[in-house]
Amino acid sequence: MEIFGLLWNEIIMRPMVNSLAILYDVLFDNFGLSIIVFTLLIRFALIPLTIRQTKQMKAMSGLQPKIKALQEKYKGKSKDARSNLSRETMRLYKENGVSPIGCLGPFVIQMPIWFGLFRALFKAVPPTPEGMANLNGLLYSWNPARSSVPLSSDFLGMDLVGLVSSQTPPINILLPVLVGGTMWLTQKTTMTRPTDPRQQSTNQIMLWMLPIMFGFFTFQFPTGLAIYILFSNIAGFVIQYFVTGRQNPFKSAGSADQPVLAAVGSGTTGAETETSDREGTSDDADAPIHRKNRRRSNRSRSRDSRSKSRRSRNRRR
Amino acid sequence: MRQFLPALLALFAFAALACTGGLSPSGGWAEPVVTEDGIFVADKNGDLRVFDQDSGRFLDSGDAFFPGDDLGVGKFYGKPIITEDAIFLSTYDCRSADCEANVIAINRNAENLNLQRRDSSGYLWGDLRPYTPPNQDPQSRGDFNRWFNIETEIVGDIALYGDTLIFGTSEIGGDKHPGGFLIALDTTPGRVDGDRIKWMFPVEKRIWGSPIIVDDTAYFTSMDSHVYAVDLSEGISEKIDTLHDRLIWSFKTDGAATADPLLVDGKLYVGDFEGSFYALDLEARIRDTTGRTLEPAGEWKFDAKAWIWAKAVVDGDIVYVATLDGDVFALNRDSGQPVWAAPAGIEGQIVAQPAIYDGPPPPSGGRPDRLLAVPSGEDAVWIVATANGQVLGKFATNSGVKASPVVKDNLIYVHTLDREFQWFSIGDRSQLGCLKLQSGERCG
Repeated sequence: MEIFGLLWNEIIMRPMVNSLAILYDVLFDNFGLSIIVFTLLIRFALIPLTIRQTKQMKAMSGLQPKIKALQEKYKGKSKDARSNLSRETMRLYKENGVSPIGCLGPFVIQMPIWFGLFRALFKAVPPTPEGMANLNGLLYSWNPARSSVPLSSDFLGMDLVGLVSSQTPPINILLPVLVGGTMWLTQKTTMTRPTDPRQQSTNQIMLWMLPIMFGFFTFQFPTGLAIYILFSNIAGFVIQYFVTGRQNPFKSAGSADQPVLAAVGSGTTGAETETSDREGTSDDADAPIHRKNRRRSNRSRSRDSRSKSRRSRNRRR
Repeated sequence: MRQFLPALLALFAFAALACTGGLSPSGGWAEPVVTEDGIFVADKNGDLRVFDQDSGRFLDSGDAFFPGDDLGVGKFYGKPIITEDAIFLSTYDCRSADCEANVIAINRNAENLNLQRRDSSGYLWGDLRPYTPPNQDPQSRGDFNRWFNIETEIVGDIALYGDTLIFGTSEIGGDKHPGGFLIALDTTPGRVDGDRIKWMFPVEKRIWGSPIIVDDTAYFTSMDSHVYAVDLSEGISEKIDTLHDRLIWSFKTDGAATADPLLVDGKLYVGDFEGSFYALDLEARIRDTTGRTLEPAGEWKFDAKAWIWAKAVVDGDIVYVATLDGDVFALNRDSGQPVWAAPAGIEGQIVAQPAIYDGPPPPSGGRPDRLLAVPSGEDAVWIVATANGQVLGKFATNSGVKASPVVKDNLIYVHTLDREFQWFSIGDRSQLGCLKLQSGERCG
């Protein structure tokens, strides 16, 4: 447990606190700017993970009809059949270069970064004597920001350490609305209408429930955290727009086969995929990742047809 | 994945809320105060207890002498002031960035000192409305209290100057009074007109150190990287001294400063967060109009290379400096040259002033060694020989110590962060007793 704490401190916490402090020093002693720039840097550094996650989810989406067919085939059968199902499913994943936890992996990898950042915000601007004393151990001896301590937590009339609810109006209302709004926007951008009406309604609930829930939580978040979530959402929206597909959030969602990328308000791009067996026409046809997936899907189809003909030849023999 | 998403989000939100737990102060930094009536210990959660050396118990071992925990007055960082007639306490607590501090005056001549309750006669002051900045509605700060309440932090000790309490604060009421203030509070018993504040001296950032008062001057440090000397005399009119009429001099330090200054023989010793430790000559300071340069004669600066929070200790010609990295330095008082530096073996942060004492008499006779009892955040008070800086051992407290230890009658008394009051033999360093501040019972 102690080693876990040490690793957490040395790999996540100290680099983050020092980065925030250096950015504060560079960005005119402004901790708000420091948080915003740091958030953007983190989001852009995670773009490869985001792309990978999206790819995995799309590939997984393409396989859903086949997995469904396999499940139908082995439904209610013996233990052997269940193990066959498992083997066949794994083979399917392997053939298509899909890892069943591939969509979850990047999400899990990003979790410590988000939590680390939340902690780092308050460790860099400690409001208590204990926190201030601990900051001495967190800042590297070469960090030029050591002479800037204590870092000021004022930003545009807000105290970044104070709760959003305790800020003066209209900031205390505006921030939760902006956090919820940007989350809704990011989700809406990436969400498509599935063919299954049940999933359609689930999507609608997710689209509204998550932003409202997070907007509500934001009231009790420290303002610095709310700023982080807000800019993380904005960055997520921009990354989604330019890297993983372009959609107009105010137009109704596109074709049924597109993945639903539900952006987690904390700044994740948690990917959710709709099952569909149709290859669709989409607004994002020119996005490289989608082209690649289509090529992969085509390759997969031709592989399937080759193996089918091989099997029928064998049968004839 | 979809089915897990709401759960993940909920987990995230709760974790994020939980992550903000470090926004509240913990307390437990208050040094015990030795008096003829016993040793007063201010527990981190607001209780004040009195230790009776003869019985080895707290007086009133059930209820605390002042049950501040029950009353929710906040955390103690500064030590209490005990006079013949009164006890003055300062506490504070925060919810997120919203902090409230209390200054409490207890009437020692009251009939029933065991029940210092809200409606008892045990308080020195009459009903007081919480302090309200001029641009805020007085009603918005709530009801009358038996003590002085103000929206700020009080971390350092309070000091008494005649019938005036002097203490440092952070900003008041959030952004209503930004920076920090040295506040002078009227201690006259009973009700007084107004809010008891005589005057406030503003600085640019918070004051977390304690003011020290010599003659009519208060010396204190601020996070705005200055040491200040402020005139306490009556008759300077401005309530909020925006004109700095009270300022005698200020000295620019290399980094933020929270350490309490130490004034000995006309020299002020103080450290900062840049690791710089200064010896300032008071006469030279009055002559220096820039407040930035050290005079060539009599003043010096030493680089300890780590944050200095603890108040220094002077013994003879040597000044001892402790850092947050756990280093201790012995410096020549005249030149600032190190006599010895950074003994190995002290673990943990040193935020409180070490105590200096005579060790056990040597078996061969002669003078006992002078020793330093250095409180550290890592479960011990370390024993350092002043002659060479060698670590001779430790008083094992099994909990961090951020309050200065007190030496009396060959015993050393320690207030730990685990809300324990422990005492040790100076001779064999064994623990002779331990009481829980919360319940008054024996430890373990």
